[in-house]
Amino acid sequence: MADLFTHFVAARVPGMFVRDRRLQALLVIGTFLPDIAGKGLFWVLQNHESAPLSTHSIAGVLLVSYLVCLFVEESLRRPGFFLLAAGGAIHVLVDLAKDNMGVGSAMLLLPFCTRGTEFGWIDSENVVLLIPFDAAILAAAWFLERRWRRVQQ
Amino acid sequence: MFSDRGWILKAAAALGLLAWLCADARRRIAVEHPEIERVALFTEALRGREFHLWARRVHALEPTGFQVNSSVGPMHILSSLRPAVGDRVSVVARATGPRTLEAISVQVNEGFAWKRPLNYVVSILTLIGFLWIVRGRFRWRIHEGVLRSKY
Repeated sequence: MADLFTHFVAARVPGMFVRDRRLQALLVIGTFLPDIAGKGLFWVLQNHESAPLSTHSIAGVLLVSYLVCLFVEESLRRPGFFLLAAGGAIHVLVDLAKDNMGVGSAMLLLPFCTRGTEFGWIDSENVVLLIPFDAAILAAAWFLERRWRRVQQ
Repeated sequence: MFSDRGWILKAAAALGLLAWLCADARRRIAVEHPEIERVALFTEALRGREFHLWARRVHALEPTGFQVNSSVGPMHILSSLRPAVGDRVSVVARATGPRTLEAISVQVNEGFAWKRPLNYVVSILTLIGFLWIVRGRFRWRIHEGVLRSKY
């Protein structure tokens, strides 16, 4: 897994374009969900291999997003589901950048196919080295967002 | 689909489908990529099957490769790459005999001892920090069974 800070930044940057701050938060929560749900199932069900893989598939992202959106009030639920799912998709895209020796970082088409997919751009353990770059991107995004808000006011 | 009507049924259906997805993936992966421990009792059915080992500590070096530990004892990896004892390696390998696998590719996970803990520390701090920042955007009403917006 990539660290959650990298995932946070990857979701927070497009989150700048979401006006509603609650939906913006749901986009970021959505990007945390594949790892949190995967780890939860890993520990609770002792499902070591397949639980994280399931939550990193398209079907897994949609199911977890739907389950979580049910805990949001009814008026926010539909857009909340789409933003949670978008966050999950961003998470999976970031994970696909990892190099897992051709085995694949995610099995996107579960339960139909167990073929792994990856772009193989960065060694999976070296993702933590991106943290300083992530921090710079986050700072730039925060600065731009503040400027836009000021202009809109 | 997004209304409060039949909320509990919808939640149960989503949870049930997720559980089925995990169970189905577990069953398929166990067949296609079995755990290394199965090589201890080698059968012809395992020959050529691909095994994935992540960040295993090299236990000993051998003339033909190296040895990694498993829960059922040492496994021999045939490889031309010679990592040092104590290194962490990730291996994609094929089973060739009892307790023996032939490496297809080997990757030495340099700095695993600090990169992995750093990953977890940063992740936990990010999660705590984010939840702290957004705590005001939602309001819990557990007795109503949903997370309600405060607006």
